[in-house]
Amino acid sequence: MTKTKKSSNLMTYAGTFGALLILCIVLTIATPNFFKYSNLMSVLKQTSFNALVSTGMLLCLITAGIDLSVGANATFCACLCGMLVQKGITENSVVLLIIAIVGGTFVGWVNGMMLTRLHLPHPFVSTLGMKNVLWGVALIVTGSQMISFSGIDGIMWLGSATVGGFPISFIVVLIIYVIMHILLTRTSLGRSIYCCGGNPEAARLSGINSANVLTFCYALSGFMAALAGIVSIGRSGICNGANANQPYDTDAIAACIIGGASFMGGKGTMIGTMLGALIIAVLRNGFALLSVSAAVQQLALGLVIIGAVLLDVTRERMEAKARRLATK
Amino acid sequence: MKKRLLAMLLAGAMCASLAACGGNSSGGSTEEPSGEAGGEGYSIDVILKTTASEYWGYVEAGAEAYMADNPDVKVEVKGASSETAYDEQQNMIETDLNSGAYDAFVIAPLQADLVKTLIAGKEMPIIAVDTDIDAPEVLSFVGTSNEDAAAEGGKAAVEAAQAAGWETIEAIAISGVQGDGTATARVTGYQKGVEEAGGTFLAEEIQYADGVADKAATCMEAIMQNHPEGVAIIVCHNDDSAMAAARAAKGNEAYANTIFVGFDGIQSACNAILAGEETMSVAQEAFDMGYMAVETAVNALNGETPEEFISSGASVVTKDNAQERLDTLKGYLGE
Repeated sequence: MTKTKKSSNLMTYAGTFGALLILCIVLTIATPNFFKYSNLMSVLKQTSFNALVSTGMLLCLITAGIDLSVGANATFCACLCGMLVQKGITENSVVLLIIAIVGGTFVGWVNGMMLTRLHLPHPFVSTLGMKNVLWGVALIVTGSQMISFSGIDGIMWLGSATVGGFPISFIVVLIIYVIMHILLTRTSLGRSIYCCGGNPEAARLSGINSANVLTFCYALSGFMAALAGIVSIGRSGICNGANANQPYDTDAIAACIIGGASFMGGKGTMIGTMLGALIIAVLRNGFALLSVSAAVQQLALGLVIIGAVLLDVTRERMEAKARRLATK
Repeated sequence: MKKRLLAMLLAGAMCASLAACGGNSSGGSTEEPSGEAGGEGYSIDVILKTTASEYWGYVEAGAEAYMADNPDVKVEVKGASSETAYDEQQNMIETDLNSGAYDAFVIAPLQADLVKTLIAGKEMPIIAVDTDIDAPEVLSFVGTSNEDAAAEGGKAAVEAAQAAGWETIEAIAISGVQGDGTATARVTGYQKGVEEAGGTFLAEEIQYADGVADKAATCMEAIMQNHPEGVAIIVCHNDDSAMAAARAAKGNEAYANTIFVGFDGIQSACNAILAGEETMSVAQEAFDMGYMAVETAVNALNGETPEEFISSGASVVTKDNAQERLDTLKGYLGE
């Protein structure tokens, strides 16, 4: 049983990894500028933001929930720092960093509490509400102004520094992914998270405190959004509350779904999500290199998402069929 | 206990919001008779693209400054929550046009053609601000065309590039939302300006970053990849994009002398220009635009026939005048 499960897991990655590989080969042929060290590093820089918010999104998706506030939360955290700089309260990078992370995690914790303690029906509704709240607050705290972080290099370090061209932000992403992978696969908390999503009733009967597990997932999602917000400050050097309505959340969902997560919960892995995030970043990067029109970009990305889900569903049906045949 | 506290909080919030709504509507209805009764006491409805951005904050400040100068005219400023919230603005215009609470309208359309349909057959004076509405009901357009302003920027950029020692002057645009009227007008203007001044505009390589900083950084990284030799001019849809693009190119020797042109000339752009992080910014006089639009509406109510196009002016902010502009802008917002 475990053997078949493992091999099917490998199959999941094989499909997604194959797609990424084919994409890279096509782009290498299409433009000579794609397969260059500097460009590949650009791709990693561009992946960092989405990879971070996808981590939180994945946890929520595994529990059969969703967190639509991730993008707005990231913008909110950046704007929180921006406000402190603008109002001249502090330019100390450590303080800014702590405030952003505490702020983001708190927002995530509130999302979790709304679901588990206030019993709001589905996190789709509550986190959608939270997205709007954060959007509004981000504009209010900055006075609807775009704020520049010029001169405050400490806060921008995470998003802009590199080691031999390799972005620090992506190193952090890799470390987080390894930790999260271990957490999800090797700890009881990880198993509880899968259990809460796959079969909540079984989770309750086996004595898992699902309320706390769920709250943890949303708080972690907030934490990751805060990190993403800090990365965005470093990348662009500015913050702007108006960016809170950017479709960062759907990009994160797309990365998770391409990587094998499901809205039904109980599914999804860190490796898959990383591949999903890379596919999206490579697509966008390739389009930019080729100066493809925005319309075609949207179309292609949409097709990739549909294709990935279709692949997943087909594979599952085939597996179910194989199981039925085996029991006969 | 926790639950009770929560219930009280919720109830309180609801009461407050109800009271706020009630206050508004009663204010609107009392306004109506006074507006129609006398020649004085006009009520002007100003519907902007959004109020959630610094640029529109200046238009708002300008419109409200008119009210401060003319206390008998009542000006109400509102706007959608973002520059892509088309439905929101549509509903807003529809509601206000049919409310009968206003004597004249000043509208900055998100989608001009849509507004054209909405205002068809209306008899109140309607003034377009910032973006023109091509409809017979619109008496006047107050603004600068984005195209003309961007052309100014394009010309100035070529001059600056020559001064910076570039031999081949090529320009690439990082545009806003593809298909958006403003984005198209700005790119067209940049192209015109750059070409008139003797530069080459690489129209095939336009990037679309939706006016968002991190997407602009992504686009800039692609541009550097395609042009390792450096590009003389990068013209951007707004200041957010220009600053992010300049930041992405930081440390790349080939781009050390590149001219980064933004659009809007907001406060942080002035600061960035002073700090040498953005080269120049095309600025529309948003405050004057708001003020003049309301003024035009009042003149029309008083029976004057306004000019079809009233220019509110545009300028290019460079290191030389950035400080001056920064001080003026701060004054508008009362900082």
